[in-house]
Amino acid sequence: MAVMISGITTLHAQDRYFTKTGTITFFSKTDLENIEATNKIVTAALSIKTGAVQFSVPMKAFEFRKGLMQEHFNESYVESDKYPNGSFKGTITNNADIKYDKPGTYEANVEGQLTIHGVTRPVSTKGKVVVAEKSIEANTSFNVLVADYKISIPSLVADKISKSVQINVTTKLEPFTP
Amino acid sequence: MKKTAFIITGLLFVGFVVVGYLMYTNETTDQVRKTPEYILSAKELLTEFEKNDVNASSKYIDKRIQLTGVLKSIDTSGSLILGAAGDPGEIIIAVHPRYKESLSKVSAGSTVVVQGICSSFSQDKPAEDDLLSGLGATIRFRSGGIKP
Repeated sequence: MAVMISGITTLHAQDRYFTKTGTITFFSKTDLENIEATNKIVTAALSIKTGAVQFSVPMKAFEFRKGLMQEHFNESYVESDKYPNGSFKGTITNNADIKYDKPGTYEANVEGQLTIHGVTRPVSTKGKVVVAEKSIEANTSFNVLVADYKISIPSLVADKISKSVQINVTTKLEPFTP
Repeated sequence: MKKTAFIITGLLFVGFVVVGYLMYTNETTDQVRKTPEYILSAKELLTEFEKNDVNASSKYIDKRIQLTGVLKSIDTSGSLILGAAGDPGEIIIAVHPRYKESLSKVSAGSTVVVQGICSSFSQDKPAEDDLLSGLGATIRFRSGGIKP
């Protein structure tokens, strides 16, 4: 019994959890075409003590099916040579409701600043935190308006790209040991 | 004469349409099968970046590189991590979907030959207000895969 109690209280004793292989997918849906791209080398970190959350997204690592769309995305839309990384810095505002010492699935309210294409805007979203014995999964999904980040789409392809793009974030975080 | 000009114009137009269609629908380049611009070990690449990241970035970023290294871990969603156990320096390879199936054929600890585009390098000193700092030297690759 003493060993069991000891095991539970030391579960997630570390404060910082991170991954360098988080996944972000964005999805644009129009009547003419659906466009999807996935990035599998997102760096993400969470402080379970404070609820602070941070992401860094290398923009060139978004993989598209079509080569020309990937080229346009990098050269014209997000200008990835000029703005190589997207980022998010925020907080789980209901962090006190998440029992990091008890395996289970918890709703998370996240607020923070999202930076894409050199433009920073506030974002508020809901997500899920799945606490397991040795890791924490943090997932969320939200929409962004392309124009909010000064991403201009040429009129020639404007009908093929949605004005609002869905972003899906999936991360499996492990304890950081310095 | 007019008829010939009309036929030639028509053929040119069809040609442009076909080329345009092929360009538009063409899939992304398979970076794993193309000839690499550099061939080295994961350890050599990490050492070069850690020694002088400005020079190494100028030399290797956005270049197609073939690497040999030990697999530290595999993320079955589509990425590999090369590096030595206990060594904070790592190389993260984002595996292109066309090579995702090959991930099931390798395991942590095995030596692999991979290729992709070297995308970025980071090595931040720990900072209190930055959760992403102090995570060790990291080189990132995109459009990668295990060499067939």
